[in-house]
Amino acid sequence: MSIATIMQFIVSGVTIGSVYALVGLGFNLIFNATDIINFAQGEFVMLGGVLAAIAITQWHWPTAVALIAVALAVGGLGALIDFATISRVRHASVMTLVMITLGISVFLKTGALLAVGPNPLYFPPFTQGLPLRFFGAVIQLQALYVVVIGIVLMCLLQLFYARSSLGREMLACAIDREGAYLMGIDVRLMVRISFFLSALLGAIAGAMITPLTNATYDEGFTLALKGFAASALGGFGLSSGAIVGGLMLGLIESISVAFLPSGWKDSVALIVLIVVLMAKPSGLFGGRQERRHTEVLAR
Amino acid sequence: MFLEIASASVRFGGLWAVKDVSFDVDKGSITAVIGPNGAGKTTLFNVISGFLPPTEGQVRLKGRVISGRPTEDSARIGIARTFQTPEICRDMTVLDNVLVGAHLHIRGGLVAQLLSLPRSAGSERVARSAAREALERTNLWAARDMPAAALPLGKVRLLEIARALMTRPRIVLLDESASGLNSQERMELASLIRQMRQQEITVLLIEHNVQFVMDLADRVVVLNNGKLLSIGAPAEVRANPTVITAYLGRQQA
Amino acid sequence: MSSTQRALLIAFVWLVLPVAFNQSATLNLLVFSDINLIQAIGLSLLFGYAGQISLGQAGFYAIGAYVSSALALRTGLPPIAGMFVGTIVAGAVGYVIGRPVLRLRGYYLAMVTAAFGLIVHAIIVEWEDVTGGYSGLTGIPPINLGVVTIDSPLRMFYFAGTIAIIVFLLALRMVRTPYARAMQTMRESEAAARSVGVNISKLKAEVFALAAGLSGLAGALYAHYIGYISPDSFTIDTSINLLLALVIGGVGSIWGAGIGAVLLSFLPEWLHVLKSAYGIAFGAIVIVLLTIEPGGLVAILVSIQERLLPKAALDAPGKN
Repeated sequence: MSIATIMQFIVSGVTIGSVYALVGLGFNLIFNATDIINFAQGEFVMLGGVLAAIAITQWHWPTAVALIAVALAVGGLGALIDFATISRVRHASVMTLVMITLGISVFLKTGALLAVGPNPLYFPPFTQGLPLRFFGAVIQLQALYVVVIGIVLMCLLQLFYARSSLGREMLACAIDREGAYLMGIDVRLMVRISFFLSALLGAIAGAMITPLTNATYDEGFTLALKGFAASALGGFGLSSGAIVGGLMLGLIESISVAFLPSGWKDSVALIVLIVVLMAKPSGLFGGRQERRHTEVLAR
Repeated sequence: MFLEIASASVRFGGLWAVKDVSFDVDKGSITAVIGPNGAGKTTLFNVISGFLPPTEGQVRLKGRVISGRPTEDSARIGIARTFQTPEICRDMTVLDNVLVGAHLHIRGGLVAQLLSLPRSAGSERVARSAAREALERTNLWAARDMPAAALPLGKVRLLEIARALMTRPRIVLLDESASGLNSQERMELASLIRQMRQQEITVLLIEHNVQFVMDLADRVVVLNNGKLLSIGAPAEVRANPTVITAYLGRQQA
Repeated sequence: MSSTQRALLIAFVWLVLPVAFNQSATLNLLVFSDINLIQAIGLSLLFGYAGQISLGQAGFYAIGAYVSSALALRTGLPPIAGMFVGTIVAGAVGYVIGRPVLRLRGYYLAMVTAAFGLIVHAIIVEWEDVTGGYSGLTGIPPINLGVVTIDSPLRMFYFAGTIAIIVFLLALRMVRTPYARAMQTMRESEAAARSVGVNISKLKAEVFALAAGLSGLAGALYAHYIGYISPDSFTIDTSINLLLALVIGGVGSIWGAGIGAVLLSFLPEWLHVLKSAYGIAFGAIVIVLLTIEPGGLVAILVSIQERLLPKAALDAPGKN
């Protein structure tokens, strides 16, 4: 295997891994605020790609405008979902919550099918131009965008937690919800914001990757499983876990193409998911907080 | 020797919840395990009842090692238990909650049960009459068709005991069964425990209510910080200065 | 009227339906209801009674369908035998997978079973030599019972319907057995179940295998009815829709499985204007329903019954 091939794997692995990392972060956000795993997470990603494609290719909006609008719209959808359903059943059993988020996932997926049809959608890369060459590997400009914007978003999220008072309140909520509530933090607001942010991040991830991989109405659920695998690999903590997990998952998936027919690509990530959940549910970097999460998840 | 706890130790992370606890239990006796909160009493019960393997040490029943086995083996060996926070099935009736205690005594698998083969139907009948008896002994027969969720805490604890008795145990571990009971209920419980002794069932109980224990137990085991502090007849233990310090020290802290 | 009597009455009415609804299209849906009922009962026992979620039933549905079809097409095995083989293979796979996987609970179990279903789908697509890949298998022979061949909707309605009714009655009987008591105890408190000697990992795997086998049986029936199968019928949507339909019908109740099966079969037709997007109704109904009444339609029906006829409420509500 030549250096160029290896570099190519790394490039595509890091690119797709950034998407998985963002999905995983979305899971963590909601889970840390609510102890709920949102099975509709993948649909936020899908909607980001699909809506951006419609806005850019059918309504002819400028790319930047479309991206911001779509991100905010899907973020708003996330908050709406919390408002309309989740917030009313927070006390319900784990299984009921699973069912509701599954129902939301199906609703959004089939809604997208009705609205845009079954065919993959596409829009052109943010900037046109020749791909870069790096040690023999070809790097699409869009891939650079994905990774760079991904990094920027993750840093912004960290800054948000560290510097803004809202962010610190959300952090407090994640560490100890009861305590945060007793300290006067508006937990319901925190939950709503986490749904908003989670959907926003997912939508941006979905929009960014569309010029590379297209957007189809039914890509959501598999993406959700992969994003969850990313979180599980890296640990359910607030930050580095999903990021590292996402990159690892992306690289594993990317390299597997060298050994297996491409039809097995998705299954590789799924097998990673199964192995991680069975072997070490608290993640490779699981610490005390992760173990508490694992208890909740295994309820 | 009937039941031997031999240097049982349990470690969680960096902490020894139970350290080097050893004592023997005579058949048919009532042994109380007391100690301040966090002394390791429930952890010890978890080891004896197979819910936790000991990190070191063993538990032996008539010479055979019973610790470290799969939890479900305990009922087969003859050990039954109740739980500090009651584990009952809230959506099932009181009767069904108790009937499940006869699980090991139902003959025949699913197919035999579906076809109501004689073996299976017969053992179910036996179970039902045993359940009736257990419910009558705990004064729960009238409530048998109610969902278990409707029972107050005192009755829930008795329900757990009724279920435990259905397993036809040799040893019963009661984890804070008197907790949350009023004095009438405590008297019923004490009488139930004495009945068990009459049937040669060995009883171990964890209790916070020291007075309850003093009248009832043959022997008292005192744990503190995971270690065995004192063991002996109730009067001896109560007068032991180290025991008093352990309790008083906790109260002042 | 006891539960069994009610069941027999409804079974009788069900079997007489074709007299009134003998158009081919409706008969077709009734056949699907029979087939889906078999699957739904399996999932109801697994999820509603034993408390184990599965988002991968389509995988077992596929195993039953493909094993039976492949054997019929390649070795000439009579479909009636292939049906048995398909059921057993699905059940065996369920048991083998169930032992380790069912150590997981809640979200993890949901994810892993979903992953299983997706992997089976990938295998079907990739293993072209055996499964025909994307194009699937065609020319699958109908079931031949010697005296009659099941090659029309009416005949399949009665064949699958008989099987479905037997399964339904057995399930109604099963949930009153000590075995079911152990299952329900396990669902509500694993600690309590262990303390009375229930072997949890074995019990979970057995029920999982049962649900898997029933899905496999349904899959084989489906294959020999339609005569053609492809990966499109065995997707994650298939698994999710089955589960949602069951939830809408009512989770902890075999009757709920019946309602769910009918819903699952008729909804695509009622919403045919939406074509394959009929699932949107499932999603919407589940969201609204669960926000109001987690027990599903059965629970709603029961509470209506209780309000109208308070005395009749003594007749074991919900948990048949």
